[in-house]
Amino acid sequence: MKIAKVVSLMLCIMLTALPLFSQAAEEKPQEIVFAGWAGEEANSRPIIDEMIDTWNAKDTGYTAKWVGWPWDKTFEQLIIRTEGGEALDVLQVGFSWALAMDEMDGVLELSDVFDKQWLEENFEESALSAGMIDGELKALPWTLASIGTLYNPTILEAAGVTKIPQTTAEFESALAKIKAYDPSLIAYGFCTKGTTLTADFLPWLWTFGGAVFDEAGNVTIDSAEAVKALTWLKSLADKGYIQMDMDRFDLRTIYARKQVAFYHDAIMAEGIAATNGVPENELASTIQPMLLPVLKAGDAPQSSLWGHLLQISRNTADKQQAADFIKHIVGEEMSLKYFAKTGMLPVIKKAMANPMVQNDEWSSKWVEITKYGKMSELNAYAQADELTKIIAEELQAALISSKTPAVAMKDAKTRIEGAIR
Amino acid sequence: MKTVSGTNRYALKESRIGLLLAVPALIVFSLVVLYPFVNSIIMSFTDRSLLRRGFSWVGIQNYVKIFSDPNFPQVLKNTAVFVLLGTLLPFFGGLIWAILLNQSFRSSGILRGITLVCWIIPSTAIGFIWMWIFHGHYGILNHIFITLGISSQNIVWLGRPDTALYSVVAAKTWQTLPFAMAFILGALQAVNLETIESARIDGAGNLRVFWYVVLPEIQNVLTMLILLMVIGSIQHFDLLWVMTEGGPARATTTLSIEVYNKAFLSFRLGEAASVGTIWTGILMVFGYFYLRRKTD
Amino acid sequence: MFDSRPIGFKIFFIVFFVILAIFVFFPLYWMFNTSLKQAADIFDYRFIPRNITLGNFVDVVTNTKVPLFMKNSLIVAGSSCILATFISAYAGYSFSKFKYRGRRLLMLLFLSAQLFPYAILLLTIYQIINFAGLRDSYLSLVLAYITFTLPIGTLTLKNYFDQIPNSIIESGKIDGAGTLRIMHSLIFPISLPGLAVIAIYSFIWAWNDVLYSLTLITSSEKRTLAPGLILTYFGEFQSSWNSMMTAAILVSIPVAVIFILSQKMFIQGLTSGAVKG
Repeated sequence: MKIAKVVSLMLCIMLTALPLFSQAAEEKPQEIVFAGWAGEEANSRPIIDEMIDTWNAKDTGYTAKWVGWPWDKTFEQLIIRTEGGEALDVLQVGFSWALAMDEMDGVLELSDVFDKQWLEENFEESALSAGMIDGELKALPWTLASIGTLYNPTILEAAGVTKIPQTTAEFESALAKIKAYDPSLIAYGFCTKGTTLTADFLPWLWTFGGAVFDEAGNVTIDSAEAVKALTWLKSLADKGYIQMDMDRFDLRTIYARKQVAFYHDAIMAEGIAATNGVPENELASTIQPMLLPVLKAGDAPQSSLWGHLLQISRNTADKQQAADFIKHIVGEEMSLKYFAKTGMLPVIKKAMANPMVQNDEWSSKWVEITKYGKMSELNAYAQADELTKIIAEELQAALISSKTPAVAMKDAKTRIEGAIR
Repeated sequence: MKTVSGTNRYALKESRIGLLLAVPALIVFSLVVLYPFVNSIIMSFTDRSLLRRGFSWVGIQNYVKIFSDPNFPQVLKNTAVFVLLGTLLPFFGGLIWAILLNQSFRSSGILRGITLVCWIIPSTAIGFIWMWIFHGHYGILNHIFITLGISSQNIVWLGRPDTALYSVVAAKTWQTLPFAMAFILGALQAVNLETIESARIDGAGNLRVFWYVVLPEIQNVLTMLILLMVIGSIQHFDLLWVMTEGGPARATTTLSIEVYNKAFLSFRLGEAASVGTIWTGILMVFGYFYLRRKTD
Repeated sequence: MFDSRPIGFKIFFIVFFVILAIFVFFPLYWMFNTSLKQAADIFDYRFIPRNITLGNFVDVVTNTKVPLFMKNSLIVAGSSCILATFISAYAGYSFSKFKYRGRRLLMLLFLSAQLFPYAILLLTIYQIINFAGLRDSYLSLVLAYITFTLPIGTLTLKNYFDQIPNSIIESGKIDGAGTLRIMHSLIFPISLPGLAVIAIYSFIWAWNDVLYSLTLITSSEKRTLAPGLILTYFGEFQSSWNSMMTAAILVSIPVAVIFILSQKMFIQGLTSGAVKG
């Protein structure tokens, strides 16, 4: 019976261990849990640590703690853990998640915890609107900028493109020149893999005068304009300017190897290029931001807003402390450090007015792009990520010619309607 | 039947011991799997979503929706191709590789050892090396093909609906082949060499030796392996996710990708659970026949 | 085992050896090759890197938490593999050699739960783990991993034990051994290949899992390897897959050595078991 003993012993140990473990888990000091992904990324990790350390050096009675996941898993983790009642306080979220977090009743209304005066003193009306849901402030912007278009001046010059393309026609002829100059280059680094292609597609959709939804919320992604936008993009793919199986990471890597002429990225593009191996003194001749070409001269150049928001979880132990922690991280000192380290634009007025931001050439150009920034229409729905996926799949189907652009957009419409019903 | 004969009292006691042996498994199983399993099946009849509290019963609406989804047949087809090839290729590859490495030649031991390394490499890393091999711009395979003059231009292996799934199957084969190899090799080394010798004296060639002597002896391990590999392929997620995210245009979306998308992208648990229930239902038909054959 | 003299066998051997060796070793070599390269040379497709560096390995060991993640993974995967194998072996033996009511139904239930997608089970398992207060503990992961190999382990081992002739058990009975003695000193030794399959299967499952580990574990001190690697090397703005490959190679080699050693042991056990049997 030796083994029976061992087995029962094992079970006993397991059963007695249960309460022991649970006790250990419950015995927690007063904590402010800051959850998201910034503290996991090599670029921003040191500064997130610093934000936490400087908070902990203050005598608040609350210890701040970072809990993080990889970026593409953060949303699901936030949802599961909020549902499960885990202790979370300050949440870092993407634009497309904020509404879902609110819809699931997972976050607090922020005008209760931040006084009106502080908000007005520190934030532009337009910045705050990024966190407004149904007239209530549910999120505060942490960093805010548009997704821009980047070009490699050296390649353009070598290919004989003398002027930065401002219209789609000029853009197309630039691409043709680049392809003719060196067919092994990726003339236009449009994302074609995963779901990122939706983000690259929307500004073009707007440029062509289309929209995913009309004012009344009807799905209009199958409009003539939208089909025209997609047909145009498909023609670029057919001519070999756009390549399939490219995600943003591939493009960044290849861009840094100077084999991409145009691509889209966030404001940190320059820093990313440097991390990926572009020497400091070659940055200016390798990567420059530009406005997205327009259909005809005089149109407004489109771009979609991008950024990170902060929310307070409904599971917070002390919402006032959580709010103070947010003030600490978006505050002038920390957000300037964050900017210096990662290139993420601060949001609060004082930091924006700081000469460090004002005199930064790269950022000023980006501010120009952001002027035209528009919030993705999909973010008005809690299922934003699902809609993004639907559009991405249908775009891919058109790009690889398994559907015509018209059919793909029609199918996208049907599926979007099904998803938001 | 299988019970060892003895007096009635003795047999009773024996069967009680038998039941007792299954108790730890039953406890763990019911604590951790049974409830979630039953709960998930129940969930498939609701509109439960992670994005709101509470739920309502919707009957078989989720099932109707899935079967009327024009994309669903393709998901089933992708899954069937992935499971079939993702099991057979590593199985036969592993079988042949094991037979070769069992012919103790110089350095066969080293080769066995290195083969095992492939399989302990975490899936995500495997996904990336194969993504790199098949990449349309900086892919190693394209580089080799062009250098050798096999093709004249880059092929975007993972960006074409006709090659993407097979490319992932190649990666899956690479990942699982060592598993098959290791265990077939173990089984081969346990085969009684004397039986082989005597068969050979009787004039049997290699094929006959394999078919009539070796195969019956290793059959046991082979059935086990195939079952494990089929289940592994059905549940497989990592490589597909890393290499293609189910694309392009759903060309590599299998059931497990579909379930993940429904559960963690759309947060529609009810629908995700009903996909899971359908998939389990289909497989249980096979499972039932497998068990009936085994227990009769 | 096979006669290598016939020309047919020679052709078979050479053809498949070349195909399989390239297929198996080339990607592995390329990973290794990449891990020895400096960042600037990653896309240099020379077969032997021009500037060999061990810097990448040093970086993994000194600048990342990968060694910690690996330790956690070994603890979790090791314990779930041992527990899963024993528990499944007992249950498999019980299903195979004893006849009682509800046996087949039970097995069917086992199998169906195994086939259900893990991603959905996670949500309820998370609730149970929460309820038991086990969140953020190794035990929560071990429990989850055991249960994912348990059903399939039980069934495959049952199948395995079925093929073992009852005469062996009878002979043990005659020697006066009880069920447990028979199991441990007669059945298990000759079933080592089967037991090893299950042990390794469950080890790899635990070793590769991302979703469960990410959800059930919160603190980075307890992260296991697979999610740890993703956390360290991938994110919104980073995708250092070359560094990740270095780390992957580095952690795989010691485990492979353990496997190779234990494979030797298990073949020895096998032959000695066969003699006893």
